[in-house]
Amino acid sequence: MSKKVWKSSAPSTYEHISSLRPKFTSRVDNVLHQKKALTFSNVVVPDKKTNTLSSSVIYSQGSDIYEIDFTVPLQDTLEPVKDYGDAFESAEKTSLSPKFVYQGETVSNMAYLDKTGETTLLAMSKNGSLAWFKEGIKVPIHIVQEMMGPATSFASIHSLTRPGDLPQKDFSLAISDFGISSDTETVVKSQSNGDEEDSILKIVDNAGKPGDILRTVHVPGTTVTHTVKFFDNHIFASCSDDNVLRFWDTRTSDKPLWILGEPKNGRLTSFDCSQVSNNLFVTGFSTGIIKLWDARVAEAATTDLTYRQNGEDPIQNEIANFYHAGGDSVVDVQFSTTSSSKFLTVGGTGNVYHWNTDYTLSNYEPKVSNTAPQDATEISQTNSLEFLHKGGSRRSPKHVGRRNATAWHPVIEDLVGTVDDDTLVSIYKPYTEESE
Amino acid sequence: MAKSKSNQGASGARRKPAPSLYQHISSFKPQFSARVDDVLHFSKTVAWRSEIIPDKSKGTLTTSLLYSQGSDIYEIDATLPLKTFYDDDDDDGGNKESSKTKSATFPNPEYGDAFHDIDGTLLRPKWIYQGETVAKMQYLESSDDSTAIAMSKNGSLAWFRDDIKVPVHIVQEMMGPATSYASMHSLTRPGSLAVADFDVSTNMDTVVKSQSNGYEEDSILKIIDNSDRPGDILRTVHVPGTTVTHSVRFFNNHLFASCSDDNILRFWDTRTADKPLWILSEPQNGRLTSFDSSQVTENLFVTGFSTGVIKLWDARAVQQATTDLTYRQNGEDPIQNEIAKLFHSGGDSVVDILFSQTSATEFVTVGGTGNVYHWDMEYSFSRNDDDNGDDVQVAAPEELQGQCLKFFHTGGTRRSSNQFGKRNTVALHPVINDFVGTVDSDSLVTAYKPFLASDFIGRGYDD
Repeated sequence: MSKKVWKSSAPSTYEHISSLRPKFTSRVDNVLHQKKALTFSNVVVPDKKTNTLSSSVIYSQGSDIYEIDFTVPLQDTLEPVKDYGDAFESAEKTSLSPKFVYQGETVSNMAYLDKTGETTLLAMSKNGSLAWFKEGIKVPIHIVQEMMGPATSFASIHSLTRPGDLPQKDFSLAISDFGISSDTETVVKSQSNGDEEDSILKIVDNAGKPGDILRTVHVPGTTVTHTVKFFDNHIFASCSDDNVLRFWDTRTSDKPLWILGEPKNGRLTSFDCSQVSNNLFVTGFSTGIIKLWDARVAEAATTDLTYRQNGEDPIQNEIANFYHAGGDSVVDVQFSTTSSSKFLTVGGTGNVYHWNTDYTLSNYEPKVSNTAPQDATEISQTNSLEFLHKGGSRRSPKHVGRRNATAWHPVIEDLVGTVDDDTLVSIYKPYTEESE
Repeated sequence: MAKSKSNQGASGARRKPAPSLYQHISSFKPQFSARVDDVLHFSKTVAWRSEIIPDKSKGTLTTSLLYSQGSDIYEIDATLPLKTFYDDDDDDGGNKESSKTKSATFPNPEYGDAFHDIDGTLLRPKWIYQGETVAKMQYLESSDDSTAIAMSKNGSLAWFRDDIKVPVHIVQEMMGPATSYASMHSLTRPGSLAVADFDVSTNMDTVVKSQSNGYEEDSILKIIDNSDRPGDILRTVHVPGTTVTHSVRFFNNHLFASCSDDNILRFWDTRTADKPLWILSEPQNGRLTSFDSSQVTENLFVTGFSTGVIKLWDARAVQQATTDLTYRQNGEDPIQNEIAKLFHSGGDSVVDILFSQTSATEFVTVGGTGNVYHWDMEYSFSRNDDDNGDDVQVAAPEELQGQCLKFFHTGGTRRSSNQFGKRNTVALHPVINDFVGTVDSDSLVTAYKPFLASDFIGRGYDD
């Protein structure tokens, strides 16, 4: 294991960092070819005797899903560490065998549900199929299978057979996402239908009959809907390649409640909303721009005719914007599950940026409508960029940051996990001013 | 418990008249601060609030009843003797202390004084739904935003909050002159078309209401938000081929069923498109008048007919039957069988059904005569549990009837000759077991708790 201390102007000292290159029981041909995704389980076991917390990383590689246990110190350390920690000590010696297998599919996104409940893990494959797994059973117990590739159209044959060799645009149709409602009773997934100008959302039950497709909604005029996220039990938003965010209610008919168009700043690549506040959300662009929004204000602006004529586009302003230095594109955005003021962004370089919005929110007055956005300045940027984690992709030249390869721990504050293309799994906790 | 059951079996010979001794009964004729011209003309409904406040020093338990009369809604406090009611909380535990208290509580032949505190005071409306006639109320337990929802006769909804006299949110329906000629009639002669109903999902996030659109062959369901923006109409669903959809009930957070005048129950999910998930058709036994679902099990529901027939169903079995082709050809109607069938004696029609919110086996039906029937299906369940499979032993109707009809409350409507049982005039307390509130057309409010001989005898043996 390499031990380096990264040098950078942005703060990047760690309170804790551990890495693991997993060994597998089955032979893996070329680990770089397999798609990887990562999430955490929400089970945390504190051990007072040894003063540690145990939890686990759920890690997928191709069709296999592994659970890797780790142990971190219970108390915050007071000084930044220079050395890599040994959180994965117990997992280091053993060879991993898959906990779940989604045969014939490539897992691209996972969500942990509940260890003891009816279903433990929900995994999505690259073509948009969903599989529910239950603790102790290796194969899926519910499936929503999507046909893509040979069964549908020529365009998607490519995406099925030669995913890695083609330039990005040729497998752009094999992009899908899903979101789970706050009460975990409803799942919404987005996917391309395989044709031009046709992307769809499926509302899927996750309560009475998991996997039951309740409704299919067409998103007009879009080819790919790459992101879908829930705000609460019913309201969710989808983000498509026409740079429009559409807000929906699971119970309404097939029209969005309201929309947010974002024609400028390049391609809208990602968005996430806070589960803590229910109103805040963040959008990320291919140009490296990041915007923080208040959903209530953006919605109110759709009916506000104070500064515009009816028929003109609504004036929807964000709370604040930030940017990735050097035009590093935004490939993933994730709100912290423990704090409403923290989110992280993943750059195209694989770097992970930690943001804290306390500074901008202290200057923000939601009652005043039409406040101009707080544009990115030196001050707001330095006050908000809390931490920078340099992606491990430095080790191989041509790798880029990917979606769903970075995750916040749902319970342990500030703990983040990432997986690199060469299977290196890292968990870290930034050392920040507040930690002192 | 085994003993008590055998004992029940032995006393199975016990026939009608069904037991009707009260553990507690109190009546109250409210007086109003405003002059009320003819109290008989107003439509009245009742609903319980779920809060109960025990007072150990006075030995009392306080709860309150929402009572509507025309457009006015009143809150009436009821103070109950603690020892009659409190031991119910550990009813299931069957611990010795509670059974002793119970055996010490003999039926009380006297009328109680639950409404003593407010007797003589003039009631002032707590809330007013101006210009409308309240036809149904529901208390919202865990909502910060509003305290109760009231529905008017024409299908409008109003959300009320404590201390604010007027509605805080409204979903207004236009009926009568504003819409069409056909419904003008329904306004002046509010009969068959002015039937509306609503229900709130288990997590209180969603409201579904049903109403006639004022035309023939057009009844609609509206799915309405009750979480972020109460009163926001999310979706309107047409129920094809029906003029009136008189009942709508939620099973859980998403699944609900509507019951229309074509004698069909349609099951929906708030999140699906505009088609029912599955249906249950009931062409026989007369007009399907009412139904209610259990909030305790999420699966059981009861339907009631104009002929007095009552059926208990398992929603899972009903749904499975729609796809089961074992005993029928594809294209034939599915064979959907109820768990148990009961009836009101004398053909007393069923006008309302209330499933207990505290027990999975108990429900109450209201007859067209105004009588209230208390049922406990434990006997039926213990005979046909899931292990029996196909070999279902159906009890003889008479025997089932005798075992399940626990109690019978004769409606106060006897005092006036032409009054009939109405919907939403009987309410089961959401927390206190078996505690019922009723209102008669002459504004007499009654609260009672049955004295159940079978319970009493059973407990005696347990000691």
